[in-house]
Amino acid sequence: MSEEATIADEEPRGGVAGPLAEHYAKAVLIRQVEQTLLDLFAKGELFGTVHTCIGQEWTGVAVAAHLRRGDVVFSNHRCHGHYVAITDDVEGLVAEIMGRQSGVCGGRGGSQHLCAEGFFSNGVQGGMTPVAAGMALALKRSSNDNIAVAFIGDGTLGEGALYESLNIASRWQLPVLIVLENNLYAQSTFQPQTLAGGILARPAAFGIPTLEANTWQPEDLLDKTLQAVEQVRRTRGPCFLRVDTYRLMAHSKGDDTRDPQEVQRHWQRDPISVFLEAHAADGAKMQRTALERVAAAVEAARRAPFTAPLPEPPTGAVDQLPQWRPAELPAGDRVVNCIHDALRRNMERDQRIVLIGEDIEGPYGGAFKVTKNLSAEFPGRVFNTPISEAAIAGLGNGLALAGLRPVCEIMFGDFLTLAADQFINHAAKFRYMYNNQVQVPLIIRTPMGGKRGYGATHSQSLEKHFLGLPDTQVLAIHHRFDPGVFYDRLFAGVDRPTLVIENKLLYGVRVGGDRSDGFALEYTSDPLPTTRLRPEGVLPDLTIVCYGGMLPDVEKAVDALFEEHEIACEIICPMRLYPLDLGPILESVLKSRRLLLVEEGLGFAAFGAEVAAQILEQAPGAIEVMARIASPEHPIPSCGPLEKELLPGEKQIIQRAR
Amino acid sequence: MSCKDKGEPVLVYLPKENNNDESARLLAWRVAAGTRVTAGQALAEFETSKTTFELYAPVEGIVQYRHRDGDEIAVGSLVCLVSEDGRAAFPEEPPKKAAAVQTTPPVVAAAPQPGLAVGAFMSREPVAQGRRFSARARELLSRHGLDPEQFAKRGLVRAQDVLACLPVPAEATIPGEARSQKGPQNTRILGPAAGVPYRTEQISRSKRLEIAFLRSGSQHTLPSAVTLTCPTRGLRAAAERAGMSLSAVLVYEAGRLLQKFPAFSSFFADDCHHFYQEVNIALAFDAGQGLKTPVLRRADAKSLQELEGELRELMVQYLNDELAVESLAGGTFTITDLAQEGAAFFSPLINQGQSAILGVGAELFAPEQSQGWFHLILAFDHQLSNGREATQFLVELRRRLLAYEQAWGGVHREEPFCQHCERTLSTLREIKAHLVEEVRPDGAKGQVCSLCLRGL
Repeated sequence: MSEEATIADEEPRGGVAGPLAEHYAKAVLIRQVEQTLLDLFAKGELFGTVHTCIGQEWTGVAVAAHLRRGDVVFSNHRCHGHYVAITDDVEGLVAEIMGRQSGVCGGRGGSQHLCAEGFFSNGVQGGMTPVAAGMALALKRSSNDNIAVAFIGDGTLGEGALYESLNIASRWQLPVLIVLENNLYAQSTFQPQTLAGGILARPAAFGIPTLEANTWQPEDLLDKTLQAVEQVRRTRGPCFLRVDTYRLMAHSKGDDTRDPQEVQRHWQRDPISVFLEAHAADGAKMQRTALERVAAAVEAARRAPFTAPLPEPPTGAVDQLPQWRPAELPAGDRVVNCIHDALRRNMERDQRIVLIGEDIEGPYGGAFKVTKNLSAEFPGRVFNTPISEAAIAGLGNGLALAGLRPVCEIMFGDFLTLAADQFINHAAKFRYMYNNQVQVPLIIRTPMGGKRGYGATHSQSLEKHFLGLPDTQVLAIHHRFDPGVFYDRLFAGVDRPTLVIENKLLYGVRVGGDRSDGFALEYTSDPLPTTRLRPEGVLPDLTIVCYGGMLPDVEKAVDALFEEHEIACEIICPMRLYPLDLGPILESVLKSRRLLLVEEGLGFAAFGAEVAAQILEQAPGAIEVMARIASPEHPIPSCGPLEKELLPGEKQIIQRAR
Repeated sequence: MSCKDKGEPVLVYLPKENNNDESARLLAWRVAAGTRVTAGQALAEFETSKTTFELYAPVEGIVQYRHRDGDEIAVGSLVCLVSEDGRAAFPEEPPKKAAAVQTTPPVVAAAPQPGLAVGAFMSREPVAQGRRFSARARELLSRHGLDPEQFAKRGLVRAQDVLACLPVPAEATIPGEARSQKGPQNTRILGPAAGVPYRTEQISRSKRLEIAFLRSGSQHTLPSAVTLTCPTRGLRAAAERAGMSLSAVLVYEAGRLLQKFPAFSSFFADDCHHFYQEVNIALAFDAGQGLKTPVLRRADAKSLQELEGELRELMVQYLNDELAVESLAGGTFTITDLAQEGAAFFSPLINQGQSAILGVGAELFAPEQSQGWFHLILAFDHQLSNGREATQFLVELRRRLLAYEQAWGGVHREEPFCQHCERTLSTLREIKAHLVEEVRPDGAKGQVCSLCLRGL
């Protein structure tokens, strides 16, 4: 896509000229960049490692030759060549890898995490393929003919996310080109050791058209990439291009266990070496131009300051006590209906909102009926996916990068583990490592919790595993704050990957239903507030902190504790589990000096433990008594009575509070 | 009048509306900041625990303020200012006022002072809207036919709250340990005599307070007592003649003795002996208006005259029912004098947060005898002291009181009398006896009758 032409203006000499010369010049430039990076690495001027593409340069060059403004490229760990081929930004790349503020990502991303307009790379194998599919879905929804491209390696063929993506790309006919660079080695492992079946048999099995080329025949490669790109552009469906190639240098640095003779053989057929030999004069000039440009880029980067310093770490100190406001919450509909209505209301208001998940289309409308009828009301905006949680979250990431407002439903919170890589290694990282060039307004909704006899893998509360990821938020709804209002406010302000913890039992509870007399319901001023149930007229004897689906149980326990034991409890129920506002909890504990932390999930290193630690750090000596109630360290039995005995409930809370 | 006249902004402070509220909630501003108001125009509406009231502009001018609707504002702190140009600078709040209720008190990372922190929060809490009875509270209500409306806007009402309003004796027993340190302690109430009708009266708030303090005192001490008998020829009469207050003398001498016996101005807590670094003597008195124990601060450092003056002032306040709360708090030792009522011997109760109380009994004289006696009783916490030390304290006090008696001249008679048998000169004449001058070994002069002289 570069407009720069170092050769094209020259008179043709030695038979190379025109576009092919430009492409060779670009390949030479890429090689020079990579060689310089290896040199800088040896001098200790780089951080981490570098995965060079020496020998594979032509792939990026050939694909870039046919892309247009508006096309979007997703690359992997070996992305320097792709990046330079597509953006021509040698200076930004070199500075980035040298950790400088002038780098394309301000030095935050480094070698594997590059981002420029229309270009994203990430270092997790296969992770970008569902993201590319999501981007392709967004491109397909728009009226232009832009496409998405995802570069993968043959090593990526071992990743499940790839197949989830291929399946969806074909089934939904998404305009995405998968370019597989087949260099025969996954890091150090020779392909026959790990690959069964054929490479192209895989996309073919999904009904995806395939093409083949190699880097030793650049002109044919250019031809095939053109065919592939145009096929995707024309059909608005996927295509799979296999490019056989060979990596002439180590996977990263010093980890080459291949037979040196084999490597040597490939050096001899290396297209760039062959070209430079055949066109000595032009080649030398190309090399000199490239060398000068890269050297200048290195010099400029050396003069630039390192990545902006880390911000002052937050002290975690509570410097403001919460402002409480009386809540007005008339008795309303069931939680599930409130969520449904809010989704519908916001989809009407905001065309960017799309829903993705398993079984969410009508007439089924989701395992818990949250999305019932929405597919009929909003055609083309509610997507039933295959059972592919990684792809669901990955599609969401791609849609979010495209500026849409995806809402992913993970049918059971337990399956969030299958989507964890997309949430943790993609969604949560994009904004920072791409230096604020993107936001990821991704919403993942999922019900947690047991007590319905679904057994060990469909009843857990796994949110603790997703707490504490910078740039994300984890929110837990409950019936004392209208979930409809919650979603209205979330859609109005979502600016980061957001995990919304719903609860299976809570779906059927009426919002703002019967409430104990003598307790005031109050919210903090946060749009997604912490809720407090304050005993009126007395200081609390005990503070109980809980969230989400535990609130009804805690309320019942608190009622009984006063009714039968005359213990006045104050309930603090945060909606934001992360980032956590400790103020409301701290304030209550300073009054009661007794703290009971209640959560349904396993207690080890969980939310309650974190709250306890923070309280002790903030106000040592404030607490006379502290206890936690959580699931015992035991899988959840399916058998009803046993499950009830195991999971925390009203009874356990009363026993512990007394 | 306009603020133009002075050119300076007029500061408007929150007035004190009643004795209960140290702060008021700003319900709503009636004028926007920057508005020009006329004198007497309503500026804002406030709510106390009792009522709502409006605050009016004292002068004409432009209003400036920082508080927002809903803020809790301390009594006496700045609400707004009215100036001619609306650009007056807010004065620095004196620290004392600033420390009063703030809308968002910052929380320091250090360990909070328990009492202070809780106090700060309480003042922020809105008044309860409703009420809710516990099962036991409900049962008590119905059993005693109490009107639940009595507890309107009380929030959570427990059995102990109902019991506090209950005619005693009630037949209920509240088992178990009270969970809250803030509420009243649990109470064991004996059942009434079977089949005997009774009438009930409510216990006054001040009496309930007294009960709480004394109960606390007896719960946290190991009470013991020592009694010492003091011979006297009329210490009280002598003091009266000399124009001195025996109470002041007791406070004065006890104050000094407590420097020597600090264990009696101390308290026991958490297995530690805590010594007060001030001697503040509470003097229990009851002149028919209820028992009160005003405190004479730093009694060990004040002159007898100062103490007498303070006591007189407190007495006046007591009689006018004007004793301020501050003058009732902070005692480290208590003296109770029941001589007025004629009690010769009694068992004083140690007060909350103290380790001893001195009781002074009435003087007793046999008929026709001028030599009498009275009791000094020291009830003390055996955790912090012992009988021997208590006795030493009393012996020392007795010695000092006798010295006063002597200094004030003992019993005064219109005519000369025998200082041994107390017979007056006229009586002696009737039995044909006479008085002679005597000089005692200590050099003091007196008179002795011929009968006693013979007997000696």
